[in-house]
Order: sequence, then structure tokens, then C-alpha cells
Amino acid sequence: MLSVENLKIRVEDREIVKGVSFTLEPGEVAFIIGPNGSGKSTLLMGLMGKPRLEVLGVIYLDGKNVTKEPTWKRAQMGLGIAFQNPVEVDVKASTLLKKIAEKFGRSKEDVEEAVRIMKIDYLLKRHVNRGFSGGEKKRFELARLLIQRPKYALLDEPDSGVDPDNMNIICNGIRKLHSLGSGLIIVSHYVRILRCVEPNRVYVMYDGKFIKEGDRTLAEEVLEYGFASVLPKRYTRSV
Amino acid sequence: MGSLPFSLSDIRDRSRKRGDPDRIVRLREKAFEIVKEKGIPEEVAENVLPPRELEGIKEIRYHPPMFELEDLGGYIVIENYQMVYKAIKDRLKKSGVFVGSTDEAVRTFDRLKGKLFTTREDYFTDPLKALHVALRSGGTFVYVPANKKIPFPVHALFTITRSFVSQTEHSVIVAAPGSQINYIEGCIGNIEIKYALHLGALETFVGKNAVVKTVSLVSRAAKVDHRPIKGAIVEENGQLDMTSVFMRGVRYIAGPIIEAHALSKVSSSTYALYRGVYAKSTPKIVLSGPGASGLIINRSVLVDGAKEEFIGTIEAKKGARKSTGHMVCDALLLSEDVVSITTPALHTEENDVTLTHEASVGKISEDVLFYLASSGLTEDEAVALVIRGYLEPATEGLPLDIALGIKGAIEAALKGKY
Repeated sequence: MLSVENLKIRVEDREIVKGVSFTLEPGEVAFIIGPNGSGKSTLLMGLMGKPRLEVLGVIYLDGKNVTKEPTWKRAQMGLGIAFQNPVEVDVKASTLLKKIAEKFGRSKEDVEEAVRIMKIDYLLKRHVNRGFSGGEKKRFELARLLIQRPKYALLDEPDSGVDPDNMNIICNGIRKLHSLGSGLIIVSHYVRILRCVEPNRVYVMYDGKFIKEGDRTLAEEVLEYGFASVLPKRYTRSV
Repeated sequence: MGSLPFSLSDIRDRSRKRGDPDRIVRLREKAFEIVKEKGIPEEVAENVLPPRELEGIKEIRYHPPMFELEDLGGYIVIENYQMVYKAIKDRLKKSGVFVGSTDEAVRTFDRLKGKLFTTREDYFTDPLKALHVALRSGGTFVYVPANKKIPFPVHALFTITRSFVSQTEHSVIVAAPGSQINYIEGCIGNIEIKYALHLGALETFVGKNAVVKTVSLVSRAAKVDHRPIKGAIVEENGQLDMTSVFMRGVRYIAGPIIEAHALSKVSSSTYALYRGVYAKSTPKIVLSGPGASGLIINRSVLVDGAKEEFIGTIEAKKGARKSTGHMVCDALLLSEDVVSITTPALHTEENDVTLTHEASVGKISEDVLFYLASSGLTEDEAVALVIRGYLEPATEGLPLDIALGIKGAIEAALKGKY
């Protein structure tokens, strides 16, 4: 189980995440929705162990406190992430995928399957994310995770800036990842993400906190009609 | 400047003993006088040329490490400065291609006349180049007749297995008009030695419409002063790609000079991992005819106190109308104590010429390391992966065995940390 207790994250002396707690079992799906700037991405970065974030609270990964562990160790213990805006890396896409497969004991066939599902075969000879379109970046991120097969996958806006065709491919990737047993935490602004996978829980995040918890209905309401309907009145003015 | 541990008569006797023609003996004498007059750097004089070397190295049985054999293969193996193994493909001989030792060719092959020491003007002005002329020994001569395309690369492998040796091979490639050849030379050594000097030369003549690719792979386990002397003349519509790859303990001070005639396309690419060594790279392309194009690439990784100076030059001479030149220099800095100095020089004597350059110097960003760490890679693994990716262009377009050889050298250079 991924368990987070009263997590607070500061960036350059400013508290962005202000006390978040939740749990996630392998195979479960949690959506985190919230307006821009509410701390969703920072929360995922903090869970993954991004350097220079000041983190208070505790993160347990299968019972082990990993709050102080480096990113690579968390990844090896079963945590993975698909970035919203992944960086360009001077490494061929095929080389990185092979390296991930080697790291996590996956076969050549596993890599081929991930490449096929995410339709990235034509990107393999290019450097990672260099000149990739928005949709290509999202697909490559999911391909990484399909090979890595983390027990708990953090998907940071896997559907933002993506056209309908790319969305179908991304949905297939998310479903596949879920079918492999991964627990998913998905940050999204779009109701269409609900077509990909059924959430067990939905959290609304605002101003660094989970201010509301619900199920699919909550996500539908918020993603269709905006946050004003679910936030307490004192919040709505600034949304 | 250091004094020389040998005399003119030593040079003359050595040359005669080797069976050099009179004109070569005279050239060596002339070169020696220049060395004597101008002097050579002290560390070279003190460390590299004890008199015993002039007596000649006795043949040593060659036991190349498996890595080198597997990755570099090679039809010609030269240990220290003597050729000890040679296996020329029969089909090359039959088609008029000559692949053999330069020493042999100097004595017997008329087509080599006028091709020694001609691609550069500094053979008889720069004392170290002159030292090469005086001591020249071994090397490969390749002659490809007109319109003949050699279907596989010709390899030459040079290795240093003893300390205090000066390796002064002189290789010449002559590609007659319309011909094509890939020439790969490996300068390697996995044996720890205290100091050695590699003062070899490679002269390349690319005839009209001919296509030549040369690759030099230098990977030494020990401190080798690597000062190759390279020059090339590329005639009308010819193509030359010259790639050099330096790994491990190589102190590199050199730069090829390429003369590009009308409509020719030439490039000089250097990929290097310098660890705790000094490197000075001074490639130069001279565009001498209309429509010629030149490209210089310098891509290096610096670690553990390494210092690199890059001074690249592209010159467009009078008459080189509509010629183009581009220079790219990238340095990846892996520790705080490294230094990279880049000086691009672009000169033109014509108006309608396009000469450009771009440069980048930087570290591996924290964001890249975080990205790779999120896939389970430790920092060392991530850095090694980025270095491999950074140097990977060195292997592009090469035959598989050579590409593997270069990748093998990169892996060897990355052993330990990275």
C-alpha cells in the first residue's frame, strides 16, 4: 500500500502542499482534480522524491518509510511517474526503454508490447522527448511506465494537450497499466479521462489540501461544470 | 626545450638500415636539422626518445586483448612501430588495390611518390612534425584505383605495449577519382605504461568524385601523448568524412587540416571523453574552390580535472564562392574542476560565403537526472547513460563492427565511475 500521512511540501520557503493524507492499494485508482496552482503536480513530485523540495510528513511504500529515500530507490521499490512536461534527454528513446527493461527485469517482448500499445515505434531512434509533440511525449511517458510496471503509478495530466486520436492511445495505455496491477493516481482536468478507467476515489485539491472526497459522480460534476459547484463558498471567488 | 638523445648520423644510419631511398634519407636529415634547431618539448625529449629506441624494437609476439580483437578486428596490426601481422584480402590485390606498409610502398610503389608529407605545410616548420619525419616508421599505405569501390572497411590497428616508446607510423590513403573507401584505424592499448608518445600521421588524398571516410579510434589505458598529424586534400566534388574518437588516458594535442576544392564536401568530427587530461583540438578546414562545404564537430565530455581547448578554423579562400562552413562545439562538464575553452575562427576572402558556428557548454541538468531516476537509475547510471547518448553520434553511419568497437571503447572509458 502507498500511504501518505499529513504531507506538507515547501518550495523555496512557500508551502504548496499543506497537509495531505491518503492511501492507495495496488490496482486501485484515485483521481486528483483541482484548479491550476492547487498543488497537484507538486504533490506528485514530492511523492517521487524530487530534489530541493522540502517535505514534511511521512510517505510509506508497502510499509516502509521512504520519505528520505532517493528517487531511484522509490522507483525500484515500485513507484513510477509519467511527467506532465517531461524533459529532453540526450539519449535515444530505444536505449532508455532497453535500460528500463534491464533495470526491472522485463523482456524484449515486454518492450515491444509497450511500444506497440503506445504506437511509438517511429520515435525510438530519436532522442527522448526531443522534438516530440505533446501527444508523443504523453505516449512515451506511458510506454516507460508499461515497461517499468510500478505498483503505484503517478500520472500527471496524461491527457492535457492531446488530440482525440492520441487520447485513444493514451487510454489504452492507462487501461493496460491498470490491468497489469498498478495502482494509479491520476491528475487531470478533463472529464474524458473517465472513459479510460474507473476511479475508486476522487479527491478535489485546492490550496494545497484535499478539500473534498468522492466517487466518479464528483469527478463528472467538477470536470463538466467547474469547481465552483463543489468548493465551499469562501473558495469560489478566487477560482 | 629538451635536447635530443640522438645525432644526425643516428638518423642517417637508421634510415639506411631500413632501406629508405636516398630522397627519403635526405628528407629525414632535413627534418632532423629543423628539430635540432627549434628543439622539442622537454617531456618529449626526456621521456620518449632514449637512444635504445633507435636500435629498433625486437619483434614481440602479439597477444591483443580479446576486447580489441573482437571489436576492432583488423587486417593489419602494428605493435609499437613494427608491423607484426598482415593479412591483405586477396580480392583487394586482384582489383588493383594496394594495402600494405608505408615502408614497403616507399621503396617499391611509384604511386606514393610525391604523396608523403604533402598535405600540410608544417612538416618542415613545426619541430614535432619534423621529428615525425625524421623518425617515421611503419604505417599503412592504401591505394584505391579509379572508380573502384572497396565494399568493406580497411582496418589498421596500432598499439603501444611498452613505456617510453614513440610511435611514428605514417599512413597514406590515396583514393583515385571516382573511388570509394572506408579506412578505420585503432590506436589502442590496455596495458598500463608510464608514458608514450603517439606521433603518427595520416595523409588522405581524395580524388575527383571519390568518397572517403576515415575513423580513428584512440583508447589507451595509460598516459599517452597523442599528437597525430593529419592532413587531407579533397579534389573537385570529392567527399571526406574524418571522425576521431578519444577515450580514457589520452592527452590529445592536434588538429587535422583539410583542403576542400570545388564542390567537395568535407567534415572533421571529434568525439572525446577526457578524464584528468589536457586536450587541445585545432581542426582546420580550408575551402579553396567554389561550392565547397566544410563541417567541424567537436563533442567532448570532461571529467576529473580535464581541460580542453578547442580552436576550430574554417577559411574560405579567394575563389571559394558560394562555399559554406559550419562548426559545432559542445562540451559536457561532469565535475567542478574541469575547464572548457572554445574559440571558433571563421575567415573568408569572398563575399558570397556562409560560415556559421554554434556552441554549448553545460552540465547534466538536475531535471534530467530526476527524470532518469524516476525510472530507477542511480545517479551514476543516469550520467553514464547520458554520456553514451552524447557520444553516440560518433557511431552513426559506421559499419556495425566499428560502431561496436567505438561503443566498447566508450564502455571501457566509463568503467569505474561512469
